[in-house]
Amino acid sequence: MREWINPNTITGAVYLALGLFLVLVLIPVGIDEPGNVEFAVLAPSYWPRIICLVLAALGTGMLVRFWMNKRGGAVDPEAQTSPFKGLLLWRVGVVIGGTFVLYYVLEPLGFVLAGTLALALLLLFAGERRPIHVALISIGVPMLLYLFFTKAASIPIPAGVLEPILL
Amino acid sequence: MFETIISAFTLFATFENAIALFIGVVFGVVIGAIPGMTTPMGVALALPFTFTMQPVTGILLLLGVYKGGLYGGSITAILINAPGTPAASCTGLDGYPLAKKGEARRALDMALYASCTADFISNLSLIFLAGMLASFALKFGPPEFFTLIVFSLTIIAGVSGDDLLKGLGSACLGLVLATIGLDLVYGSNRFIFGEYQLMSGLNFIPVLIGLFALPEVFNFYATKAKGHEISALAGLSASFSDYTKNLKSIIRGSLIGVSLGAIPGIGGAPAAFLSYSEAKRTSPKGENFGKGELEGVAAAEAGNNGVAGATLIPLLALGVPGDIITAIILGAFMIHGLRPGPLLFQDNINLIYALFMGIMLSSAYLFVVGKLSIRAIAKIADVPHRILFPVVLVLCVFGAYAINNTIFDVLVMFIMGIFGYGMRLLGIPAAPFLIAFILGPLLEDNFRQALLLGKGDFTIFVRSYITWFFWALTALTVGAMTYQRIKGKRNVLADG
Repeated sequence: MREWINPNTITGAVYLALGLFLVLVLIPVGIDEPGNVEFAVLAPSYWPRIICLVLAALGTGMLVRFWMNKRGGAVDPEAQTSPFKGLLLWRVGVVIGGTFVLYYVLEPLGFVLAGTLALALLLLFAGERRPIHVALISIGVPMLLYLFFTKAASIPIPAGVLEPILL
Repeated sequence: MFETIISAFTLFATFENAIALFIGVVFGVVIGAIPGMTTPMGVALALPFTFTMQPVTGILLLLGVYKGGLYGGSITAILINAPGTPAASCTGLDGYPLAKKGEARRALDMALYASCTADFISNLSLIFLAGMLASFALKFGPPEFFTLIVFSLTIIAGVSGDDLLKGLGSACLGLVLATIGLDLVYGSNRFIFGEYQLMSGLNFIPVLIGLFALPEVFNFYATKAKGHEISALAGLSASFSDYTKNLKSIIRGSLIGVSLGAIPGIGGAPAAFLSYSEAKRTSPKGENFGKGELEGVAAAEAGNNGVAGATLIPLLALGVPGDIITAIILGAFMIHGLRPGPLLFQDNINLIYALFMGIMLSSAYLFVVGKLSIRAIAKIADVPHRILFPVVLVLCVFGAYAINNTIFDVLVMFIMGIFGYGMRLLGIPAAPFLIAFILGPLLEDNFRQALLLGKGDFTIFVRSYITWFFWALTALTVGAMTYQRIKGKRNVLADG
């Protein structure tokens, strides 16, 4: 059973599940079908449905191919390797979690302050230990980006709590 | 005729024109190189400065931004895998792997050489073929566009790696994602779920940045031990022999760019992908494409920049803007009381020739500015990864926000980053997803518009010699790729 858990079969299962989920649930729920569709091929759901059915068929094909290879004794090199081998996934989890925290504080804190805090933490987490480097980069980069976008490109960037100072 | 050329030269050869064009190219390269700043945005930003200028000076400034931006978009695609434009993402397919191998400068050089050559060829085509190409381009309707995009999509088979099913699935995911937004024919909601910001679909740039740049950042943190050291990535420049070896692909890509650029509404991305696909199909090193092949960078950039001069063909000859940028340039013409089209050729031919002269000069400026910028920008590749990747993440956040001034795009970028990292873990190639996502809306819109014209009858897709031409090309390409795959597998079996 363990040999079924490999990148190819996981991908096949994801394609199949996603294709079916889209066809059976998301398309009926997420696409508004108008009542006056003259030709079936012009219906808003026609194109996505075709693609999702192809996706499901591709997923099935990948699973069937693995099953046939397994029955035929053909060695699938990828079956021997775990996609997560040698990776420090907890670190990725921390960074991903951090990005969502950053997303939620971007507007209230402002891009400069939120960017400074995020950059300082990311630099430390990446292994940068020189305090002056961390301070200069984490303050300088968001500040420069802010000044470029707001002053040079005239694109307003939320300043958040620093608005009285920056504007 | 001679008098007209002299008059045009007098109109063109002013200090203001030379400086405006130069500033435009510099500004365009900088804008294109910043994730989140797009070339249309750069041209739009420069537009107000043209109000007080002479018409030729103002329009040359905008053209400089346009041309600089097309090249600038490839810089971040190569260095940090964050393409500034959809077309530049094709350059990143081989450019970024080259940068990872320590050949960033070589890739940047090749991108520049290909860009300048393609730009030059495109300018010549604009000057000599404007009338002829414009009338051919008008023969393209939705069925012709559809078959052209289908042909462009054949590249998916080429960039799917070892597992075609995985690659095709990736393309399907891209096509599904491209359907989000309002339906074109009936205006119905598709996968919006009450989120009004999804009505216009997902913006290209946050998706591209998320899919390409963020997985690199995540991967750095997942494999910190390896990515911790300083690496001298800038490397050597591209040699003249690198250029001559890839000249065939550059010229072919330029011609593809010219042909597609002359068709209103196509843009640089399909040209870049088609040029890349043709180079991969015909190159003896085709199997190296996607792994850091210099020819891939050359072909993609040639296709992308070959469009630049050609998009001006329908604008100048017919007054029809081919894309957002030429629409803004059309605005600049109108601000100065000029209306592009056949009448402009009759009444202001000296202005047209002056613009042609400026356009030719822009290719030379692009080369100079590009070479100077590479020296400075290639240093980015020498920044230690422990500093580079955190900075890239923050840069991406600012860039994603700046596109539409909406925090929603930052969320889209983060989600696409996680999605892209998942694809990377499972070995799902991102390139087919990207190609399908970019070409998907064009494909579907033209498919449905064609069927609307044909009243639901599929024979509309074989109605003209142009559609037959593209179907034949598609069949030939798919056949050749299938043959190559079967041959490759047989060779592997014979060897092993």
